[in-house]
Amino acid sequence: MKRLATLWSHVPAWGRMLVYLSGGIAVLSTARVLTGAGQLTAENTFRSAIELSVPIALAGLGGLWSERAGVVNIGLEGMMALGTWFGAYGGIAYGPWWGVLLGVLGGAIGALLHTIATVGFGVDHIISGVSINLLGVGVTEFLTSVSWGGASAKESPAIPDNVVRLDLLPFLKDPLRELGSQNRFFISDLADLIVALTTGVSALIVIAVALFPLTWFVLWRTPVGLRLRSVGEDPDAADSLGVNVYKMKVLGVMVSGALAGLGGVSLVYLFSGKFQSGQTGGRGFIGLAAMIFGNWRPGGLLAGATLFGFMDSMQSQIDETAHALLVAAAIVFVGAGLWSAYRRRWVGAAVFAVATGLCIYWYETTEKLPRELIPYFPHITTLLVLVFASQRLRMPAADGKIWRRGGR
Amino acid sequence: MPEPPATATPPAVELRNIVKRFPGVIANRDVNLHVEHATIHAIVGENGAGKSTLMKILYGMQRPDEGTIEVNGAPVSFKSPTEAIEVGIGMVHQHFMLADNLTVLENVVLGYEPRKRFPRQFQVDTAAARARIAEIGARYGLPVDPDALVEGLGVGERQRVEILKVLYRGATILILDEPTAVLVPQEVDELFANLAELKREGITILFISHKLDEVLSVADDITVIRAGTTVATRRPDEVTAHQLAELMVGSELPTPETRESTVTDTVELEVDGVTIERPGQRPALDGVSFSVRRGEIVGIAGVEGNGQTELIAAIMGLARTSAGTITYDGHDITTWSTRRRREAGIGYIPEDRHRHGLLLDAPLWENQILGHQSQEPNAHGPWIDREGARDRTTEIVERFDVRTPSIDVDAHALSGGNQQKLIVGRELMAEPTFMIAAHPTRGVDVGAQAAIWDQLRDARTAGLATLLISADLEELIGLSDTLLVIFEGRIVAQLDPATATPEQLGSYMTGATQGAPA
Amino acid sequence: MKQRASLQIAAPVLAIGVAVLVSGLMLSFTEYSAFDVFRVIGTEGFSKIYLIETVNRAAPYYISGCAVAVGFKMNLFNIGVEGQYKLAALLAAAAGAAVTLPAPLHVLLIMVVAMVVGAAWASIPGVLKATRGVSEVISSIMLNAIALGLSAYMLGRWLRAPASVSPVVGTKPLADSARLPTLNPLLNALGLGIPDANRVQSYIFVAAAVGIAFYVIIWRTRFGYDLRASGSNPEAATASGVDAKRMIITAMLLSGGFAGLIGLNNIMGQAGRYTDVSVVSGLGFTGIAIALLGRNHPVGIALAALLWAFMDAVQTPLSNEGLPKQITAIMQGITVLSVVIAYEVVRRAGARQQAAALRRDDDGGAAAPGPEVAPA
Repeated sequence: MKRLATLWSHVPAWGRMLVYLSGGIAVLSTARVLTGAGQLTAENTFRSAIELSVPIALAGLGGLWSERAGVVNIGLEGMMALGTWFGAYGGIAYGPWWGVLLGVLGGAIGALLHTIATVGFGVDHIISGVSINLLGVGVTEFLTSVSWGGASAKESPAIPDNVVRLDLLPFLKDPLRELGSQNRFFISDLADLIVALTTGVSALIVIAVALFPLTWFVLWRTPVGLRLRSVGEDPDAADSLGVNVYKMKVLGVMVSGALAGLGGVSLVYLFSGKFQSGQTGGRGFIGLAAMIFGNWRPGGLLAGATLFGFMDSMQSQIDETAHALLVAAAIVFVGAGLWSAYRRRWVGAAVFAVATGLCIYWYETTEKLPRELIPYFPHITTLLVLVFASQRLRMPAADGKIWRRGGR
Repeated sequence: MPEPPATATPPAVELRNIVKRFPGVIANRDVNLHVEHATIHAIVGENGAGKSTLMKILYGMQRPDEGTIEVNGAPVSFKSPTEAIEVGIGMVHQHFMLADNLTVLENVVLGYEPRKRFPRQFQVDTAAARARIAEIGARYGLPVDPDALVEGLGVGERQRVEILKVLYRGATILILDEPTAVLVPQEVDELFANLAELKREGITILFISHKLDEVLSVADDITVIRAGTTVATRRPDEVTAHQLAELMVGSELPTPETRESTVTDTVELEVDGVTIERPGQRPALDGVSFSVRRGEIVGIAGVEGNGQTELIAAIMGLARTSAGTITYDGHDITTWSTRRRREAGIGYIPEDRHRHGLLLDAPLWENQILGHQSQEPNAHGPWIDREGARDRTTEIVERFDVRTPSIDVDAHALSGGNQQKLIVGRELMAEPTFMIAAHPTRGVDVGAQAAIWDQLRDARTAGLATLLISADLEELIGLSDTLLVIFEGRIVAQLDPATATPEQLGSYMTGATQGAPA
Repeated sequence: MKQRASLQIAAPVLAIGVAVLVSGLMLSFTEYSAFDVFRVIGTEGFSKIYLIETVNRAAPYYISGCAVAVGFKMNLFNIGVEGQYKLAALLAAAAGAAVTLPAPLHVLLIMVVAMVVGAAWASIPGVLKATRGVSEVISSIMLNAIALGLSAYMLGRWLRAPASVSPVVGTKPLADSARLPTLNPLLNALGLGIPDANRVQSYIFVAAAVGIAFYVIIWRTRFGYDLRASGSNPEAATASGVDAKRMIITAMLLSGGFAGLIGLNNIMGQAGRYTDVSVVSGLGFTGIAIALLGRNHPVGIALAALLWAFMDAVQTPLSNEGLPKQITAIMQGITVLSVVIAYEVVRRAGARQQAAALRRDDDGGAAAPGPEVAPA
């Protein structure tokens, strides 16, 4: 077993992600078979989950860039809102890709305010973030009433053209769909997933996904990325080596705003097709949750966002599907419990055993999950991670600290 | 100062007549330093003697007001550390500047990253970095694992990374600031072996320390700094530790005034075998035992950083002890909370009044409450008694001569001396039976200093048991009935202040004499 | 602190000025007239109807500001006020509807239940921070969302009034003994001539009571002293005997207790029950803004609450005249941002002065204590 451990440490990050992904599909597949909830792994479900996870993932990625530079960005929500408005405006006035560009810029403008306040004036990060959220709502509503008539307008007209949708593997589309309909354990579910990922997928999604390996490359393989991360870990050490701490923080926050803006854009172009006041719906905060869940790493963040997006998609499913999640959870807990037992962590194993029992009990004694709580699974999960896994979390060491040259 | 013989290689560093002033104080005056190429040159002195300022000048963090600096024979003037680095000077700080969550490699190359060739010049050339680190590591005997997270490294290993950091940038002159402060004996030996290796490879090393035995064993030349000036340079083979100590401390010591002893037989505070462990490092306190009696002032002398802060924390209940007991007034208070200890009658004059003793944005009368907020006259049940607190504050201002327009003034508006007088008054008027006075007259003008000394003496006469911790020998000799010396977390000597000589004191304080615990 | 009183007021006034300027600028790019907007604000805003609206809104804002301020005084961010007050309002309304007690007791019961629920929900981030060092900001944000879910769940499952009572989802209505009287009779007796349709809620007295309690607890009790000391200088506070962990939890409990009272004004007023209309969202974040504007001081918070409520109330006349009402929301946002920047700038200037003064006293590292160099 030791050899397994050393073997694992040599597997590159993307390889590990594939393993986790397969594991996830296996769990869902098992749950599907056990409960008969076919929709759990249907193509539509996956598609919806992917689309719902994009705004969360982008917001979370924005949070990551900012916090890796040591600046907490609670204002993601406001920056996302700006992204939704400017994205809609651009799309209506000029065209979909202009909308994307303007939306990104809109988010960046919000970030500029945050940068000036925190890096420029040394205002507390949380306070600045809260102010920006307030402003974001007010500004977008104001701009709406000004642009699209009516002092109490709350939404924009529909955007005439949307961003192009692509078929990435056109020749595999039909055979995979055929495979998916056969209900075979794991194979069919995997096929459904692949179809959902590659067919009729919006270009925005492709861009969003591509930003993750790009982020990883920039932050972990380039000098700029190293300096940015060092500023979030130990700005004094970075300063003593000649790194321009202020510049790195500004960079982190501005990219953060741009990504949040893109997240807002995705909300508009993937879902509503227009601007609606309040459509961010707390996703900025869920993005932060995904970032924490992912331990401030792009891979983990993507996994967390996908998980949260999947949970989000349960809202529009029939009861049976969401209910089956309990069985999926039970399977995960069983696995975790066995792993704990193998590592001789008996307390942990016991906890997981109890959790498994609770899930199964809950499943057997109810018809469905409480609908009202489903949207809040991400938050509950994050809270549990914070409470139980706080030691394994590695927040950038100087995150949230106000830094002035030469000490306070 | 004897002129060294002329050599073919120019001296690595030559400082002439350096002067550095700060508002209100002259940190360095008439400093002359001559460091030969490829030697280990130690700079010794007490805390506050001006060593740090001098090193900051050499490293480019401060600019001298007068004087010249020559590096490798060429005159230089640094505007920033970057310029010093370019000339080949590398500073290894006492408090390591390493990011825990980054790997050794990342910490070493930060800000100086090697890049791959076009068209991939955005990427860090990790392979090249790794090769160079391995090369430096092999050449100078500094083995490190480049992929290890700094967080998991021990103190000795971290120091090696810091040294590697400066060597990576091409440093040929290394400045080490108190490098053995937190090392255990084996790590000290490893470090010295590394330094010898570095010297063989032509690196010049400046070594700041106050530990004379170490300095004598590893240095080629030793320069003594006292009160901002370089007083002497010696070779280790022509001087003893005692002589060095004498040079560091100065050959005049104040004579204590003769007076009636007020020391009684009642032990008020007893510290027995108190130890505070630190994982991976030498314990901060190691089996410290002593007692303080009513009517006695026990003084503890020692160079800062040898456990005084931890001892205070242990007695005040601010730090947990790994072993040992503390008995106060007959009770075992080892597990008592800080509040309980204060309520029981322990007073505390902190060494850093801004950090531990005052609320700078609050008015004086609110500061008077600090530390005594659960007692009369400041509190009455759950309520704060404003009248009582204000009256007491007015009394303190009068009795202790605190110069202030009113008791409603914010604490930060007072001068350091008056702030300290307020604190002393606050503690003494609460009628403690045991008091910790840590550097009670630091940063205080001469007049206030004398007043505070008088107050402490009066309190002693009235029966107060006091533990006095100070770096001011005049203060220690003048006030103490018993004088202890702390070194590396242990009490290494118990002396009679009336008969202690400067070289004795200096030797114990710097570990030159390895005394048995008192 | 006293000599800087003028500075304390200057910053918010300046911030409002900046907000007015920027809003005017933004309006000038639109088809709407900035002049019209400010005219409406200045005249209609001060008419009886909207002043009443202002006062009514100000009461819960004030309580929210005090709740947040308790946390700020200890350098804690109680962002969880948002979730605390909603949950507290729901459970208090449900509890109140489940019993009937004589008038003052009934009101008291509702308020006590609200305070207990608020404190309990606030204790979670407090305990997490004290025991596991979890950031109270993140845990509070998560708990806000979870509170929403819990409220919806409990309301839907157990606490819902039957559809026969009302099609609008909410708790069962409260008996008359739980309703607070309006102030209209009193004010009309003083000759102010308030029309019956515009009810002046007596909840401002509750707000005033919270303010007094806030002042007394924070500035007059030992606990309050410990709290302020911990916020001002945690190391000095610990050295003076304060138990830091205990302090965090107690401060959060107090903050949550106050928070619980925020949402009760309409429940015990005309609405008589908890609905999405009678207990609006967003009051937690409003409280943060108000505490910042009011500098965590009971009087400052009162002024800030009134200002904020005024800006909200004046949206109706603006909207009636076809003007963009959101301009006041923008003004609010800019005011907060400007004020925090202004405070920060002032603080740094003060700290620099202080440091310079202290360097004059300290010996700056030379051997002897005293301002002059020691003899050789």
